[in-house]
Amino acid sequence: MNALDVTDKPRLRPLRWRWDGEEGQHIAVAVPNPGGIYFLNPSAAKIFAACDGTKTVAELAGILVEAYEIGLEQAVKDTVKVLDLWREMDMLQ
Amino acid sequence: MVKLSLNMGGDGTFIGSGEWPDIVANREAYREQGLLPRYLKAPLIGLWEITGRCNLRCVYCYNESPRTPPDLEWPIMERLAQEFIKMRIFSACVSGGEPTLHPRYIDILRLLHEGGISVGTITNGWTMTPELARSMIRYAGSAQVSLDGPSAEVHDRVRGRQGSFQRAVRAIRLLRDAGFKEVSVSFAATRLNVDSFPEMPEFCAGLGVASLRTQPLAMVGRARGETDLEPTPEQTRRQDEFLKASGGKYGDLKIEWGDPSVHVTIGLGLGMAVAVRITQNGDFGLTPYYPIYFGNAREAGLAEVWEQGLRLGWEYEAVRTLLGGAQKCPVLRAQPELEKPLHIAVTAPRSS
Repeated sequence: MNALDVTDKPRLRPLRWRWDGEEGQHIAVAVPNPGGIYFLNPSAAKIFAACDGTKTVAELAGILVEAYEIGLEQAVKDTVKVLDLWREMDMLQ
Repeated sequence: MVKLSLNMGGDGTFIGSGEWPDIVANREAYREQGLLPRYLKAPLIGLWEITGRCNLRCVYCYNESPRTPPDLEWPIMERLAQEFIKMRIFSACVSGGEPTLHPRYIDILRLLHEGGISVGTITNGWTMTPELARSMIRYAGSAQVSLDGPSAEVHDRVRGRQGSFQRAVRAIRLLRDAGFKEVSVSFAATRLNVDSFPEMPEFCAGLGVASLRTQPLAMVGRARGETDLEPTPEQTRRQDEFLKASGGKYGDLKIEWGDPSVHVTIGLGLGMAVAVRITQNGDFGLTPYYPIYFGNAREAGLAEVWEQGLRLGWEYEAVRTLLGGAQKCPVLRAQPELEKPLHIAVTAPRSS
């Protein structure tokens, strides 16, 4: 599997998911591999909701920068980490 | 990212994920990190017992089917199915009683499936026909047949009706022929049949079954107080040893062991509900094993009941008191206080 580049535009597979939790900031999503329903924390949920194939990894990281006032480098690192995990779980196309 | 689901066994039980003990033990830390909410907007799973009718009389039936209270009227069932869809419930397990005896069984499967819900169903197989199996596969992704032994002698004794073994085996074949890839078998371990369990994997593998599930007997429902049904410690030890040694020996057949007390431990540990049980007469409950209810579909919608209390049902003092003893208990038992249903009021009285 190739490493994700900041210019890649990841897109989610069609998945069953919903906004959830008391503030509606979490996402519950049915994951194909290994199966089961997973819960995304609010930061991962922001990336998930924007992961529609139109935004680059760098742009997705920018969402975290804006929301949490963290540096771009850290945000890219976190974004790539979660996207890699989602690739392993067959959540990305 | 936290795995919040429990895999659902076909009889409405839960098979816990290995992540749960850590989540329960560190619940506040998970919440502080934003990994775990205090409650869910809707259940993840709906366990829907659509009818109390049953053509068998199993010695251990957790909800004592056949039951006499009338099933829900169709318009209410239809409304409930719409609520499942609107609330974006992920999966539904349609059971009974024997669900295929409900005249709108296929309609329920269809409504849920067409609403984007992953549908599973449980049957004893008695009524199965090629036509029914073909209808089922259009709307259900998985089907579970209860098979409590590898022979008529064992199975029929547990299920309370002669001929039920042959019907169950035939049903498995018909479901496979119809194209079901996920036909699973549940085996409830009682003193009457647990010694035959080692013959089950080969038997199931020969039928093309995808998974064989077993669990300790829950001493509730018809099994309540029937200590002669409970496997002896020696029988349980032998089954445990067999299960430990059986991994990978039967081709593609998965052998799963579930602990029916896990969902109680998790529920009490987290406070929030992840599933809803709906009984045939519309009571909304937290768990299939205990008759603790939070409202009824004839009086209120699922969304309303969920919001008004069911979503945090495990935090109610009455629930914690009654079920505290069931945590980490190897065998679920019915507390004497729960011999009669407990209805917890969560909805404000409605004005006429």
